Amino acid sequence: MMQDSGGGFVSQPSQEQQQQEKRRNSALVPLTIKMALNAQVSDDILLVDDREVSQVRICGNIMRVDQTETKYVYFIEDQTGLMEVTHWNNAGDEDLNTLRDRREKMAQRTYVAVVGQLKSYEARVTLSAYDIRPIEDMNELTHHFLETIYVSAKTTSSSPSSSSSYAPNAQTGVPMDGAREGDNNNNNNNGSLTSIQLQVLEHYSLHGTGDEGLHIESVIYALNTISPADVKAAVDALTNEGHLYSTVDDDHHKSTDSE
Amino acid sequence: MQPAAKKAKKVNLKVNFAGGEMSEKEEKERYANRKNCGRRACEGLNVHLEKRALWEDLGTRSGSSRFEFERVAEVEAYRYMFAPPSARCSALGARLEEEEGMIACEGLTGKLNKESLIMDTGEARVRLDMSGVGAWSCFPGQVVRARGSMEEGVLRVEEMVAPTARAPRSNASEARRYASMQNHKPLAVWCAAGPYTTNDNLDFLPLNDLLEAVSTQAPDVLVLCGPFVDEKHPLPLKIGDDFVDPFTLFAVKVAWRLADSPPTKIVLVPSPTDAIAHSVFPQPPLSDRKDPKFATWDQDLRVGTLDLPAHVACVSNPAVFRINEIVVGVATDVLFDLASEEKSKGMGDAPRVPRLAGHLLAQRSFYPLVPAVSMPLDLGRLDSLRMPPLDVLLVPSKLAVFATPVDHVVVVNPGPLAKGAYGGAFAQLTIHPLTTLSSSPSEEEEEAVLHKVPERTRVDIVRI
Repeated sequence: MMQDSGGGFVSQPSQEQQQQEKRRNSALVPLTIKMALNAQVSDDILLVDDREVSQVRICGNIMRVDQTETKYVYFIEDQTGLMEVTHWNNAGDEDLNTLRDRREKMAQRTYVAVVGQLKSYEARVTLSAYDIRPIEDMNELTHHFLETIYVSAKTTSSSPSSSSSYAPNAQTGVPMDGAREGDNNNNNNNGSLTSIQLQVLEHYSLHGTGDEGLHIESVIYALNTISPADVKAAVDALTNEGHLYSTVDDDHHKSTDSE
Repeated sequence: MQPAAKKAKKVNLKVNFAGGEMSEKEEKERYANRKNCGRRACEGLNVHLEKRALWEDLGTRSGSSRFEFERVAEVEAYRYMFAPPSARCSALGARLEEEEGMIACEGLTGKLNKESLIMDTGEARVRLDMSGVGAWSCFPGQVVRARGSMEEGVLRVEEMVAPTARAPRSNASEARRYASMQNHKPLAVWCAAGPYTTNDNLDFLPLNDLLEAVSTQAPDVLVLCGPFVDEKHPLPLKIGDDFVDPFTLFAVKVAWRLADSPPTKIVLVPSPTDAIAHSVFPQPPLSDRKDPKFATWDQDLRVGTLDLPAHVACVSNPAVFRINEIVVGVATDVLFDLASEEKSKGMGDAPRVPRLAGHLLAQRSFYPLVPAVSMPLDLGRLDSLRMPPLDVLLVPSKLAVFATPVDHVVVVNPGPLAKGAYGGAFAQLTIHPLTTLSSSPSEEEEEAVLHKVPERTRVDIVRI
């Protein structure tokens, strides 16, 4: 009687799985140092552009290197800000010779690309590096900043639900499957809807994912640029058109399109 | 602390979003305190036509029946998850005729959109370019014929033709016989769908109220669609203080209350979210699942017994049955899945839900979506989803209630009878006999006549 356990021809991830996936969002996000330092901290999660980030890539110039027995601390600057990057010495699991070679190259005034995990400790954002390497082709620097702009623009303009599946193809930055395209092209696919209806529908699709969906008053409150009467009219129209359905009572609605 | 202050604190006030405040007691009786009982939930259809008169005024001799009831198509009981991949593949292939293909989405996951449209002909998959088609409406699994030119593996579609629905016909003499059986008076068919109890109790109050109305107004047929024991109901199943199994709950709270309903013919349709039904779609009729090893708290009631009275007919989901000449199809909840998958362009102001229902009719299938969305669908049983020509299509759904003519078919969504802690709605169809509207005495007796049900059917969707 469980719908999920039924025929089993299409395995649809349960809501739990989806939530876990959201939490374990391991997409590598390119950032500027300013974006990293200004990341919002909530419950040990760092948010950039309202999206959880943990693995990031930054590129910049080494200002200073502090060397101790257990770690190297680099102060890296990329013209947007200065950030502390820790690279721990993990003896044994690295090819020490390559590491030593690299570290010799990474003196002051070297451009480097860092991949690591963004952490917040006592209101300070730091980066714990998995890998640091010198940049040999300066086009990489340009590419990094372009990609940062692209990803940020993409994340802020499209829905969070689509951004959880984001992860651009690293080489081209072009989305890979139809799912994301679908989210972006929603406007085209629901061509007969007005812009207010689209806005309201999108709000329900993004925020009304629980069993009850959303109360109409909360939508009116959230979409304060639209008049309450217009929101109500849009909800009525969307319900009649089968884009929304009422859940526990006539004031709660949910999108039929949410997964 | 002052005793008065203490008391005030104890009255647990819950702020409701609409601005008012509700005490706990009021909240517990939200259904009982409803104020919209009996109001229309939507415009309905042909409300200028008359409703059927009371049973006593129909001039029916006692003991004689006003209509014939016949099962036209039914799903038989089967063991699910036994269809091998080859059988599922060939079942999908069997949907296609020559020059036809099935719409699919390019990505394995994700929704359809104009960039990801693919047509699967069984032998090849072709990407479709719809830029040349002004208006289209597609969903995955839709069987279509497309005409256009191939360019670099992409079919530039110029014209897309979906199959069309057929209309049922009867011969005139039969129709006349049915009309006289009805004493030239209309038939009343009511339809309601589960859940039948609000989510804050297991008292089945909305069902009681519906059955009350049935016993006073005596419709000819009452179609009750599942879920009867909703597997999503938040409370543990109990009668009084005893925990019970879903079958016992159904027997005591539903079946026993159907006992004194004659002359109304009651038809039960299962739902995939029903705790007492076969969980895979298509579903065979509700039936006992007796296990003699266990007795319940009531010695006479064995676990797994539905204990339905004999005059109640259990049909499958989907099911097709005939009430005199009227062919009725019923399936739950297929429209919702279609609403979540269908994408369209350029359809203008044409309302969407009739279009979705039209897809079911045109595809001649009770569940044309491939892959299935929320339904646990057994592809080995695709055959039993075939839809014969219909006059009335009952599609209970979570979507907004409606009654609308689509082609020659009256499509009705009565909505659930209980919605959260509140009451829902149910549908009352009044179907006038054929001859009162199409009086063409010159007609040959044996000529097949169209039923024209949308012209002679009044539908009211009423709040419980």
